[in-house]
Amino acid sequence: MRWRWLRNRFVVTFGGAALLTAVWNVYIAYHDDGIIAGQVVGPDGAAVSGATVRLSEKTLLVSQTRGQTTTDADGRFEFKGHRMHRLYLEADKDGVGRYGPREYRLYFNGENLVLGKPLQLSAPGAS
Amino acid sequence: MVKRQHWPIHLALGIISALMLVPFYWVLKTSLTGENIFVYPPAILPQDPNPFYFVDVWYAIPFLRYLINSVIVSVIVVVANVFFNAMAGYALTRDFPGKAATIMLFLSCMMIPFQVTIIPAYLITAKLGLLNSYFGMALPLMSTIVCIFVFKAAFEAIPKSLVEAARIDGVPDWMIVFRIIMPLTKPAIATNIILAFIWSWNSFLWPLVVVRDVDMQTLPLGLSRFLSVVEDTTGALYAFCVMVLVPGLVIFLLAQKEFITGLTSGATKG
Amino acid sequence: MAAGTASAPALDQRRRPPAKTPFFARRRTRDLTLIWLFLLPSLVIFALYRIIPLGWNVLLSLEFWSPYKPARFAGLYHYQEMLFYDDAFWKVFWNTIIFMASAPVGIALALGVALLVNTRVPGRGVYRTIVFMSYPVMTVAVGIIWQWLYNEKVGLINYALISLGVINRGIPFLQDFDLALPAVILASIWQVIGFYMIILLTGLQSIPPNLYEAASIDGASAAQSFWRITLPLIRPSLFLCFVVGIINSFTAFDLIFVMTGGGPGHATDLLVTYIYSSAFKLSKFDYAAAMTVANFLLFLGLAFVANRLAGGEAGAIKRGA
Repeated sequence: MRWRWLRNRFVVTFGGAALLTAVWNVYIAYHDDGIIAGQVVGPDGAAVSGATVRLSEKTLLVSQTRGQTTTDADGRFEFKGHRMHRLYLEADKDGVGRYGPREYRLYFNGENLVLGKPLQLSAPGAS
Repeated sequence: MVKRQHWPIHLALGIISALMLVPFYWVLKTSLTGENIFVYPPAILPQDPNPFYFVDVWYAIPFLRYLINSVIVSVIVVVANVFFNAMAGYALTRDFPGKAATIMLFLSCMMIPFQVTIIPAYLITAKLGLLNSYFGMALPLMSTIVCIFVFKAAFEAIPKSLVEAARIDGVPDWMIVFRIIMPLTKPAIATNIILAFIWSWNSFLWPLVVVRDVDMQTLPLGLSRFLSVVEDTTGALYAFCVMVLVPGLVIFLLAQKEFITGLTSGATKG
Repeated sequence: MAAGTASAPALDQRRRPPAKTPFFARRRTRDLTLIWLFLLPSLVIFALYRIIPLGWNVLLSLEFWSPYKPARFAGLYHYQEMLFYDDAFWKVFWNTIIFMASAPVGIALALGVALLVNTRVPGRGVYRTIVFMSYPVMTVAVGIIWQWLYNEKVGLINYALISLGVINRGIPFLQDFDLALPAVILASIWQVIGFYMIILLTGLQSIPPNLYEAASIDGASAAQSFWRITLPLIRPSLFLCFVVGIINSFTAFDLIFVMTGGGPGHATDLLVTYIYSSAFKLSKFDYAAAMTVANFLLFLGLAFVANRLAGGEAGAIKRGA
């Protein structure tokens, strides 16, 4: 009797929506460090060190470069602290080739993005 | 009556329902896939649906701000409606000099569409210093004639003896209304809440006139503003559209019975 | 404790026997005060936003008025301008008439749906919900949905028409001078049809079924009982639908504002949108007030005519209240 009001359809609907929102926000709080990590490989699949990776943002309103880094000896790169939800990655190395720019869309600003697939450079003019 | 075959009726109603639902489907589809205006024909089924247009909109506009504004105005309107209409409805069940005139006044007010009062209403609100405020947005909607009559009918259905007994016991009038009568008229209250909510939630012209500040805009204003900003065929506009439609639709579907009773009793009663 | 002691004197007074008649009189005035206090909030709101504006509109329409200057008496100047010099006014006036005149189309469609839903078909509640669902949604969103459906290149309506072979290239409905108004009207009918249906359903359900039984015993066909029983008996509902349809030409503001903004030219401007843009975009409040008076008179006139057509009495309105 005391808990009957919980089964009211309004309570269930709006309570459910509130619960989902809360869970979603908790998830966001643990996954919004703004890390983008990945690896650059050459046309042959070998890691490329010293390649330039550029990160740019595109939303409905803006489109501009947000960061640039070079890959380490294993061809890995990492950006930290981005606040975007729609971004482009672009990589190139003189004499090897270039990649992108390719669009990545995230579910919320600053979502961590660890690329499973490496960015594969292709020789200029090849594509 | 002769029992007739049902399938022709199902067929006809099915087609009608489909026609009524297509616009909803189309906007939902566009919000999930976007639309490339250079590709023809448009895809009927969603191809590669993704929620990213919703993400775009969420960050492009102050959606929460709009939502909170809308909710605040609606809450003011709903609460004021329940109290004021119940009070007026109760007063109309009593006998007092000028009752007939008051009822006539209410009925003739119903023949004045709010839209034809918009200019002086704006000037009055400006004089009261309520432009650009929640209260100014809510004020014209705070009492509804239809709902007054809904309450009147509900109160009249309560046995007189109950009220008389309470009055003889010396219970003050305001207590009679809020402690004895209101609990017995829950359906009328529900009707009132849902009608007032839908009307204030959807109201557009009045906020458009009253609100200057972007911070004070309600959802419909935000939506029409967004339309003028992104005048193109991006999926984001339709994602926003869906985000605006969902709360109203959910509440309508939950409270459908009360809503329809309210509209029809309003339609037949007065 | 405090509450108890505070109410004690009141109880005392009430129980004092000799003061019966004066007490009764006091009780009556107190009752009356309370009744008027209860009516007060609603009366204030209606006075502020219905009654005073109506009078003020008339006043404003007879003045030269601008926000920063003292008003001067203008006589019928604005009415003259409206009737004889403003071509846009007449265009907009006829648009409004056309919009109102489209109401019977929607009502006829809704009557068809209502008759179907009123049968004992299983699942009729679901159909009713679906047809009605477009009514309570936000009109601004409806406008956006429909202008998307009407899109020249990828709009669903153009696509459907092309696929059916009716036309061979997309029509920009909302940019077309002749087609824009019908296009907007169609969207408006789509939204309001559910409301008509609900009103008509209430009318249909109030018809006693034994009337039909008697008619079928007398050998009346379905068509005959429709024309002789159904239609006359739902006349109040039809009248009500028509009033809703007329009022809809006011509420269509949202739809038109979003879909076309009154354009192209004044092709889709109704009085209500033209009044809005005159007053709030061009700051011609006085002139807009004159048009508002015209709009209101048009509304009252049509409601009156509809009322006479519905049988001379104000249909359900009078009986119900």
